[in-house]
Amino acid sequence: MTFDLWQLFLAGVGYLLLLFLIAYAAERGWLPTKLARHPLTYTLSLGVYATSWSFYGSVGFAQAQGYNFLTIYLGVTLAFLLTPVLLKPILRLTREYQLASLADVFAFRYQSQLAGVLVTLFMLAGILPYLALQVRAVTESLQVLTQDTTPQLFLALGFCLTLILFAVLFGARHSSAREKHEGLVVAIAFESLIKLLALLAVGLFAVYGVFGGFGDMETWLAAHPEALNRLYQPVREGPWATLLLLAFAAAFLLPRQFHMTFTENIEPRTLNFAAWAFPLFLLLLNLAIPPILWAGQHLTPQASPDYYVLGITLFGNSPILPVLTFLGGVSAASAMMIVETLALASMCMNHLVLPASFPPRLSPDTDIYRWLLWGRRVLITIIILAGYGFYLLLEHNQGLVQLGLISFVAVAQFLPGIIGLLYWRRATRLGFISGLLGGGTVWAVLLVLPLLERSGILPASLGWLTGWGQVEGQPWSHATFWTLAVNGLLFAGISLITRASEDEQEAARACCKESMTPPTGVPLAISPAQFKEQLAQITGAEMAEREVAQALADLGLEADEERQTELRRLRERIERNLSGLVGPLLARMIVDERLRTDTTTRNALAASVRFVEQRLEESRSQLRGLAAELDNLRRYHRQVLLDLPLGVCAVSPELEVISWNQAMAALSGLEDYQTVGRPLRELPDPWAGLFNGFLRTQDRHLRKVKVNSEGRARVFNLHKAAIEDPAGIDAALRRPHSGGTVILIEDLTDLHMLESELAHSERLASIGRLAAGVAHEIGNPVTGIACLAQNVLYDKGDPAFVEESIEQILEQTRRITNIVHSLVSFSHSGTAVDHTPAPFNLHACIEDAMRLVRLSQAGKQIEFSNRCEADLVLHGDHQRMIQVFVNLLTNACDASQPGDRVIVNGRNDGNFIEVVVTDYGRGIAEELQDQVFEPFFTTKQPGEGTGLGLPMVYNIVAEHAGSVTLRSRPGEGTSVILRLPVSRYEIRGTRDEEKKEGIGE
Amino acid sequence: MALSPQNERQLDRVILLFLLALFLLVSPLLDWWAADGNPWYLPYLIWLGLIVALYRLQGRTPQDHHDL
Repeated sequence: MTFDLWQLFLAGVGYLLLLFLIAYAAERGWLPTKLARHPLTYTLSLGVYATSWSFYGSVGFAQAQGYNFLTIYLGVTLAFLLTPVLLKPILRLTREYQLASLADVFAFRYQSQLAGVLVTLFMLAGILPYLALQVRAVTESLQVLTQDTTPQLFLALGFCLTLILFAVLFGARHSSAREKHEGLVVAIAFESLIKLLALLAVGLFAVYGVFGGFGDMETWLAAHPEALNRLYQPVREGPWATLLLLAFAAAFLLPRQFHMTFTENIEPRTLNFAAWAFPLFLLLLNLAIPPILWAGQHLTPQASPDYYVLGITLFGNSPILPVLTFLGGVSAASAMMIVETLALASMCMNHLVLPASFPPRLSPDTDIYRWLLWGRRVLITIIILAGYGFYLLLEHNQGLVQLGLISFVAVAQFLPGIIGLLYWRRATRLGFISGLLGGGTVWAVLLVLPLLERSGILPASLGWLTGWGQVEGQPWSHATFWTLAVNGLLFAGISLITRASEDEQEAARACCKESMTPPTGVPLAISPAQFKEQLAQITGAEMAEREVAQALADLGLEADEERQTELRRLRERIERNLSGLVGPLLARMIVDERLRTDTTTRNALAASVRFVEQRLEESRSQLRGLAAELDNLRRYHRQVLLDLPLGVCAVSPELEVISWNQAMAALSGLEDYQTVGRPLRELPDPWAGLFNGFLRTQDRHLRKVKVNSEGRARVFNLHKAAIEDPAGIDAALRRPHSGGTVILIEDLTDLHMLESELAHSERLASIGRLAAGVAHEIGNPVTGIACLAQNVLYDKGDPAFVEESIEQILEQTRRITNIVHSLVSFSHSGTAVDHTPAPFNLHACIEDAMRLVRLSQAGKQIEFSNRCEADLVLHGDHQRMIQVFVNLLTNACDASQPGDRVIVNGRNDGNFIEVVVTDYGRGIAEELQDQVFEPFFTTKQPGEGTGLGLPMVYNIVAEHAGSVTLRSRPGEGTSVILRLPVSRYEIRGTRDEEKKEGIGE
Repeated sequence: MALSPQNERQLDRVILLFLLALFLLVSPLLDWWAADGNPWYLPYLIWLGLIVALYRLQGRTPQDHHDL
């Protein structure tokens, strides 16, 4: 059976149109999104590994090298077996730092543009023969089917042009490689499916169509034992291990494999599925190869063993199988060429074109995205046409496998570099570049020059060079050994004798996932808007706008973000996003150039803490041994802090909030994500004012601060302590760096209410004690009034007497009014209602208290003497201070004998006003003096005292920032000394301001 | 709280399986399974065995998104 060229042309065009349709449907969302994200689709898309070398060439390879052909797939299985330690770390790296190609990865790790350029050039040189191989496979498959031996150069060109169109439309839809191409992934997966179906169909045809079933095939094998022996023998004698190593490297280092495995990976978890499913796909693909080979040997078609796959189908009756097989071949070639070209175009763009031309010298109106997009499209066109040119130049007797293996040895040269990247931080850029140059040179001499010589391209004058490549035995083992040996030795040796730059060390730590220090420096820009302005100077306004908006969206930040820590994250994110667009080095250059940082500023502690915690969270599953135990300890301590029933707020030396525990969140109603990383001044009221004020004062404790929070009055005790930075000692100051301050907040609201209620009870008790005296005191004037009234009744005639009596009556009623007024005012003082502090005269205050105490029975018999300086003014709560003196004087009366004196002295001694209440009573025993300020402690008989008098005095004086001390000698009397600050006025003023801030007045 | 022992065990298994695969594929054992007269599908069976082991290993992979 033969076919006409036009029939095959139509089938090919129809198939490629179907491919367009599938890709288009996936891009437009006509196919379910789940399909593109399904692990099976991802796995099948990795099938781009199987090119026409696998599709056609495997049979030829098996004919020449027996089961050695399996190494090309077993090597991949070995690489995928190491998914958790090899592929996942690379996937993490490419996603985290938006690295689109192997050249990006190496340029990022070794921080060298030259490394990127070399990798790109080497890849181009290594892959061009491979591209040529694909074009050749398609044209030769046409020759097999049409039985026409003339090369179809124009058809090959047509094929290349169609691929250019497809790659441009579906592989370069976005300006950068950072966006995923769902259409491309689905189309490549579909191509893999066609390849698999076609090969399985040919395999079944070989077994059933050619031999008549498995039994007959076994019979044929038994009759021809040499057929099976020819498969096993090369395994024992051939370059089995070398080929395994080459395939192992190719599995993830070939540009197309890297592109599909890492760059186009939509869902990272699909890699777990592909780890076993992709080797299974390869196994199924290769299952049919031995039966096809034997069918070919049995039928001996005209085609070479490379094309037995097609050749034996022509012995069948149906034209469907040959056409399906031909389409399988087209699939294999087209998928490889498209993906390989996309990957190479991305490398060339980032490492050859952009470094030479960026920033493009264009007008500000230029759409840079468009510029990048069209740049990639032009590169795609050039690369595919270069592959076509190479195809025209090459000598056609070279086996498909030979061309493929040249590429495999080329990409194996990146193995030392990738091992250094993942596991050897000591590796340096000089080591990498020298290794690559050394290995590359040996590769060129041993493999490329002989190929060029055989194709007649090499000038005769260089013929002597090719002698190195001509070796007896196993040329692939020879070339692989020498390239890798030279490469590896140079890489390791030069890395050991050179030192990595700081940038490189940082990148190495990032690659080995050991980076635990955040990037230093604080962005000079103070808002995203300023980022845009600065970026626009190099990238143009539109790109700056889009990149900043994208980075803000990625981080979930608002456009008015001002937090320094977040702005630093924004800068990093912009760099990573730009890396996906223009490559890692150019991205760093743009960001370093435009989004400058102040590197002299020490890292904000909040940023460091946050960064380290983030990194630890990310790498938690990778910690082991002591590191894991330390992490557990860290978590334990953090949890202790979080669960502490006191509010904890740690503040960095730059006054940014570092820590905000749960109790603090409950007290303030602000969650930690709203506060951590923010400057203290940006916290909502009343917290900003409260904490700032507290940090400004010298006091380490602030007691009973009243704050209006969440609509209710709260009372807090504040404590603070300086944190010593565990990072080290400040050499200049010879003391530890300041690590900020920790503020503890104790909520006393409930306790305060309880105290207020107790104080009220105490007051009522005092009134009860005063009641008898009051009755007596009121009784006297009432009796006087009654007598005067009776006298007036009997002696109405004397107007002078009446007038005098009425005046006396009025005098007596004033006396009663005064008594009642004092009592009422005392009973109301210090209730829950807060009195506004105000200046008052201390002498008058003491006088009021004495008047009240004189009402009591005991008070009447004591001689009170107010010797306080008349002009002393105190700023505070007048009513509560009366309460203080009433309590002190009552105690003095109780301790004194009738007729004793109680003296109150008051004087100003500079910073303090000292008031001493002295009695000459029985005094307090020394062992009891420490207890008298404790609540409910009393020396009086049961029912006579509540034990709350002196504690209340203590509290009220403490609230006025004063102190109370006691001096007493049993039998000689007691002096209670109050010291109240004169500067109280100012301090109180500060707190008032805070309170006002807190209340939001 | 602690590093998942499951994760650690999984990494150990991966390395063990890789060493086993190397033992099967690049050691004198190769002469045994690649001897003349063995069934033609024997290499495929060994390959399938590795894939099944890999499948069982991946099936036990803890859902750890921090890995990436």
